Amino acid sequence: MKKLLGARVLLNRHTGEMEPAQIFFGSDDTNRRHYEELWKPDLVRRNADFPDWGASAEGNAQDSHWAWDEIMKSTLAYENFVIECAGLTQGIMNVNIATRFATLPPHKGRELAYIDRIATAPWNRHKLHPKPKYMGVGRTLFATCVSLSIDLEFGGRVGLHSLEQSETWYRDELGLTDCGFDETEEMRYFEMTEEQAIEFLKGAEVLS
Amino acid sequence: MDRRQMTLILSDKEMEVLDDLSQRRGMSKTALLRQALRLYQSVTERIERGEKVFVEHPTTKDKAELVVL
Repeated sequence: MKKLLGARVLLNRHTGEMEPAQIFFGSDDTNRRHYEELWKPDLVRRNADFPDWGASAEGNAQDSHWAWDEIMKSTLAYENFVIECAGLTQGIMNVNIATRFATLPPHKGRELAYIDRIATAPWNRHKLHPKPKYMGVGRTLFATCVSLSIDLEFGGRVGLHSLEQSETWYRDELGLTDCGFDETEEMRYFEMTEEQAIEFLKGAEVLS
Repeated sequence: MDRRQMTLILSDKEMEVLDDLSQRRGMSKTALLRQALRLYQSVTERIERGEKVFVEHPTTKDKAELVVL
């Protein structure tokens, strides 16, 4: 079921204007259609410019193989979110809230919200489009995840494995701890502690 | 998200465990029960798909299969 969670604004880089955006809990067939008909062709086309998956990080298209149903899992263990602006799906996120636990002290072993998938529309991405359109999609979704973690009494703790193309963003822009390369997932693992979440939220609008 | 209310009757022993776990996990009893439900659904679904769920001893690495009936 799709439900409006809150209103936000995104910066349209083309016009320099802030535009109203909506964050939804859950998704619907329109979001799926946007993903399959508008996102996927762009991502697959960009991915084809590179010899292999690793190299496609340079084109910001390492998620071109994702399928909607594997992104938007719908059990109690997962919560899905979408952000819409100008009538289109600008970002999607799927969060595992059941089976992942913190690895960093002082709350090692405690529950956390694990971002299983997060993506912004291809037209908003650097390296994929010469003039990316909306700014702030990923940060808004990430802030929603931190809020979810607080709402679930997880203390704002968030974890995720990052595609190579996004590693510096999580480490340098959002302030997560780089916990190193995880051999099991073959990606670097990042985590936000309670203390880091408080710092992060000082500079972000919080959904209530 | 939509929420519904229910009354839950627990034995003394169950309530003691709930108190103890909620303190150890740093969560309210309600949040803990909701988390338990998520975990239980996740484990049940995996087992129904034919997957196996194990717990591993931290030093000996001995594995014991978790069986849900």
